[in-house]
Amino acid sequence: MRVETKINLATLSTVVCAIVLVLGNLFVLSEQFKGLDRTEKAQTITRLSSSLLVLTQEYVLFKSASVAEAWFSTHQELEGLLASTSLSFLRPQELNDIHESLAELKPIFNELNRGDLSGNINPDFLERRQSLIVERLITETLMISELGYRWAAQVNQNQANNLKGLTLLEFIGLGSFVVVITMLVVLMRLGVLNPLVKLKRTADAIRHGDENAVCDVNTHDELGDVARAVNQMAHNLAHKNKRLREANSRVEMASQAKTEFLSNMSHEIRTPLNGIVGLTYLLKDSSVSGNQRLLLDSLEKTSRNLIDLVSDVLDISKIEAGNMELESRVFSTLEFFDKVSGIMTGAAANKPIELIIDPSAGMPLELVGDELRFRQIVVNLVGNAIKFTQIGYVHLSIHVLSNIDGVCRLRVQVQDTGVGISPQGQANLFRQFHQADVSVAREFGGSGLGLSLIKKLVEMMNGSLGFSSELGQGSTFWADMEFETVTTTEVQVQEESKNTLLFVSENPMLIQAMSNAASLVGRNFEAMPNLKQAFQWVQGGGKSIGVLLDFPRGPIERLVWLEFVKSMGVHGVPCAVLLRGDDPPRLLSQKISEVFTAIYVKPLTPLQLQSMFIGSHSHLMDRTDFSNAEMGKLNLLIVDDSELNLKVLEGILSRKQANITKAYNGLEALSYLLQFGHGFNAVVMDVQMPLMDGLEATRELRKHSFNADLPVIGLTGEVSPEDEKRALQAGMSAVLHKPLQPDELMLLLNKLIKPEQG
Amino acid sequence: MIRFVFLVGVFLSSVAYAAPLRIGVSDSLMSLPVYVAESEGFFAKRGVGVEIVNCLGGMRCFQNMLDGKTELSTATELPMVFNSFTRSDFVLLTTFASASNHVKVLARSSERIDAPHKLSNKTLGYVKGSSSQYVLDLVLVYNGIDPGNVKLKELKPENALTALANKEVDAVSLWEPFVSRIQQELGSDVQLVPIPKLYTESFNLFAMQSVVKNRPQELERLILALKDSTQFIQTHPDKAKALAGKRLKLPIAMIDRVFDDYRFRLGLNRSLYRTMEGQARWAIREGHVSKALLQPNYGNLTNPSFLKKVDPGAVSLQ
Repeated sequence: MRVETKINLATLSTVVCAIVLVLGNLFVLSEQFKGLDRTEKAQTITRLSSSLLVLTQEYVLFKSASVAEAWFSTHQELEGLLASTSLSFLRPQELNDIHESLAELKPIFNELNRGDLSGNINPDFLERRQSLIVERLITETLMISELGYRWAAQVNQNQANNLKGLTLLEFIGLGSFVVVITMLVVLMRLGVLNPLVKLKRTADAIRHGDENAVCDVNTHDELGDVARAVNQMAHNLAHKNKRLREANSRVEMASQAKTEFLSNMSHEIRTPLNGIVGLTYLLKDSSVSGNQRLLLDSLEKTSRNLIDLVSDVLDISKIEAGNMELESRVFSTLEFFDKVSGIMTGAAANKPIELIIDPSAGMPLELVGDELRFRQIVVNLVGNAIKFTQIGYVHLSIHVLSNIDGVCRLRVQVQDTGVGISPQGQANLFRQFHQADVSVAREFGGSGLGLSLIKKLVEMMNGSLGFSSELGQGSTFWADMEFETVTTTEVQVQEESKNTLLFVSENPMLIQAMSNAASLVGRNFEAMPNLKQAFQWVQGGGKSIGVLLDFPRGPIERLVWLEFVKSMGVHGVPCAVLLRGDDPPRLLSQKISEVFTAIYVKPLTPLQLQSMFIGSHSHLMDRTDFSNAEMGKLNLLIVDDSELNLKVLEGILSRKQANITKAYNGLEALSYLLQFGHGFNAVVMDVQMPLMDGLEATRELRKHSFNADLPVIGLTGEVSPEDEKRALQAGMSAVLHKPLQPDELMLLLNKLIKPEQG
Repeated sequence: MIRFVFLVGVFLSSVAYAAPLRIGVSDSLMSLPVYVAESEGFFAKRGVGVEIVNCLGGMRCFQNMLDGKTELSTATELPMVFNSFTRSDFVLLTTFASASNHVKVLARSSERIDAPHKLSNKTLGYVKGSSSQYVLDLVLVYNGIDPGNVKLKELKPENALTALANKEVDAVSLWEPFVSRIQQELGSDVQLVPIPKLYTESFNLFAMQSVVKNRPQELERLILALKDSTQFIQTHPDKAKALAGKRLKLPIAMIDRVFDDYRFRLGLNRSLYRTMEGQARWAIREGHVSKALLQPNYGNLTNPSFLKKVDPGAVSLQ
C-alpha cells in the first residue's frame, strides 16, 4: 500500500470515527431527553390518578360539590393527557385499558348521586349499593394509579436499559475510535516510521563511510522507492569512491615523485648556485673595474635570489614529502631580536620607514625550538611588510599568548602601513606561486612561495598564520607558534642599568615598544615627548644614565639640540641619537652628529637597549683624557659593519697594545671623531658599510681641522686603482685590501701615526 | 448408622426436590401463560419441573392444592378469599392474568334483556361461591336491583348450557370459556347482557406455605418461566391464541374475539387487596362464610419476594 493511500486511509478512518462518535453522542443526548419526557408524563399520570383516588374518598366522606368539581376536573385532565399526548412508551392495549377505565369511572361516580332508583327504597340496599359504588370507584382509581406507577416504573426501567445500551454504544464508539487510532499508530509505525528509521540508519552509515550500507526496505510504496534510490546512490557512491581512491593513489604517487624530484633537483641546483655566489664574491674581491663590479653585484644578488627561491622550493618539498624536521635547541630571544633587526635594517635601507621592534615584557628570555625556522618566518613577514611599505612604519611585536606547563605560545605580529591587499588577493594569498596581484610581482618581485612556506612552517609549530588587510590601508599578519620553555634565567641587571634611561620621542608607538623592551631587559625607563620636558625632568632631579633622542621627522632646531646635549653634558648625562635608515644625511647636514656619544639605527633591539650607556659614561671621560689615562698606548677606532671583521681587527691590533674602540658604521664613527680632542691616534675603517660608508665618513671628519692629520686607513675588498683613488680622494690616508694582512696593517699604522701621538 | 441415615435423608430430599411441581390449572383462557410455558419449554429452560393438573374452575384447583393433590394452584382471588377465613397455610405468589370481562351475563334472546336493569324479575343462574355469583350480585346491586327481587338459581358451569336451552333460567352469570361455548352451541338464542366494568378479575398463582419454605428456588424459576410466557404472549399473540384454542378446544375465531379482554402480565398490586376485601365483605354478608369470622389481612397471605426478584417493578403493594 502506498504511503499516500495509508495517510488517506488514516485520515478517512479518523474522520469517520469522529463523525460516528459525534452522531452517537447526539443520539445518546436525544434519547436522554426523550427519557426525561416519558418520565415526566408517567409521573403526571400517576399524580393525577392518585389525586383522583384521594378525591373519590374525600367525596364519599363529605359529598362536597367542590370536591366533585375537582374530581371531574382531574378526570378530564387525565383523559386529556392520555388523549392528546403521544404515549409511545405505552402498549396500545394498556392505553386502551386506561381509556376504558377512565370512561367507566365517570358513570360510576355519577351513580353516587343517583336517587331515582325505582321500586326499591330499602335503605340497607341503598347503603350496600353506595358501598359497592364507592368500592368500585376506589378500586378502579387505584388500578389506574397502579397502571400509572407501573408505567413510571416501566419508563424508568426502559431508561435504565437505554442508559445501559447507550453506555454500551458509547463504549463501543470510543473503543472503536481507540482501536482505529491504535491501528493507525501501528500502521504508521510499521509502514512509515520504521522504514524512515532504517533509511536514516543507512544514510548515517553512508555518511560515516560505510560503502556497503544497504537499506532493507522492500515495500512497494514511496519509502520503498526512496530506499531503492538510496541503495542505488550508495552503490554509485562506492563505485565513484573506489575510482577516486585509485586516482588519488596515482596522484599521490605522482606527487611523491614530483616532490622527490623537486627536492633532489633543488638540492642539486643549490650546490652549483652556492658555487656561483661564492665565486662571484671572490671575483668581487679581485681586481675588477667599477663596471664589472656593478655586473658582479647584480650577478650575486640574482644568484642569491635564486638560492632563496630554490631554498623555499626545497623547504616546501621537504614539508610536503614529510621530510622537514624542526630542530629543538635552546636559543636566546634577545639575540633573536638582534639577528632579525640586522635583516630589517638592511631591507629598509634608505626607505623613510619607521622600524619598531616591540617585545612583550613577559617574554621568556630563552626558548626551545627551531630558531632558524622561527627567524625565517619572522624575517619573511617583516621582509614582506618592508617590501610593500613605502612610507610609514613596520611594527614587529612578539608577545606571549599562553605559557603553561612548559609550552609557550607566542604571537608574532607584523603591522605595516603598506599597500594592503585586495579581497581577491587575500583569497589567493597562501597559494603557492601566487601573489596578491600580477602587478605585485612586477613591482616588488618575489616568487610567491614565501607565505605558503611559512604557513606550513607555522603549522608545523602547532600554530596558525593569519592576517587582516585593507587595500591602501596596510596589513597586519600574525603567526601563532608554540615553543618549549626552559627554566627562566634572570636578566643580569648591571648596577648602572638601574639608573633611568631617558628617551625623548614624539612617537607613542615607539615609546611603548621601547618601554616594553626596557621592561624585558630590566632597565629603568622614562620617556619624554620633547627636549624641553626632558630637560625639566633632569633639572627636576631626574637621575638618568643617558638620554636617547629619537631623531624627529620634521626639521630640527640645531641650536636647541646642541644646547640640550651640552646641558646634559654639564649634568654628566650622555646623549645618543636614534636614526631611521634615511636620516644620516639630515643629521650630517645639521652638523650635530659629533655631539652624541652613540648613534643607533632603527630598529633598536632589546640587547642594544640593555647595553646602552653602560660604560659609555667612562668611555666619554676616557676620550677626553686619552693621553693622560692611557699614556704609552695607542687609541684606535675600528669601524666595520661586520662583527667578525671587527673581532679580526681587534685581534690584530691588540698586539700593538692599543686601546680599541669599535663603531659599526661611518655615522657612529663620526660621533666620536667630530668631537674635538677625541684622543684617537688612528682610524681603521671599512669602505663599504650601511648607513654611512667609509668614504663619506672620511670626507665629513676631514672637514674639521683637528682631524686633518688623523690617519684613516681604509679597508676594501675592491682592488681596482679607481677604487683606491676614490678612497684617497675622499681623504683616507691609505687603503688596504682584504683579506687583510696583519703585518701590512701594523706597518702602515707605525708609518702613519706620528711619534707624539703614540 | 448416623451417616447412613444422613445419606438416606439427603437422597430422599433430593428425590423430593427432583419431583416436578404439580400445578392445578383451571380450564380457562386465563391459564394461557401456564400453557405457553409448558408448550414453549420455558419451565425446562428455567430449570424447573412442572406437572400440570387440569381442573374445572379455580375453586376446584385451589381445593386440590389445599388437599395436597398439587403443590400449587392457579385460580382467581375468590377461592383465596373464601379460604382465608379458615386457613393460612397457602400464599399468593403472583397475579399473571387479569380481565374485567371474564365473567359475563348471557341471556336468552327471547327475554330481550339488552340492559342490566332488565334483569329485574328474571330467573338468573349462577355458580355458587364463585366469581359468577359475585359479579351477578354486583351487577344487580349497581343497577338498583335488589337481589331479593330476582330468582336466583344455582348451577354448575357445565350445566349452564342445558339450563339456558331448557329455559330453566333467563340468564346466567358465567365465565369464559363456558360463555363462548354456550354462544357457540345456542347461537342467536342467547345474547350477552352489557354490564358495566364492576370487577376486574385476577388470575393468580398460589402455593402452599410448605412449598414456599422447601422449594423456594423452584418457585422463583417457575415465576421466571411465567414471565417468559407473558412476554411471549405479547410478542407472539397468534401463536398464543392457537395454543389457547388447542388447549381449550375452541375455534381460533372465538379465542380471537375475546382475547383482547385479557391482560397477561405478572403483578402484585394494592388494588387486588381492595378487591379481595370487598369480596370478603360480600362473602360474609351473603353468608358464604360465618359472620363471626374476621376479615383476614391479605398481606400476610401474600409472598411478593419471588416476584420482586423476578420483576421488581411489578410489585406495588404499598
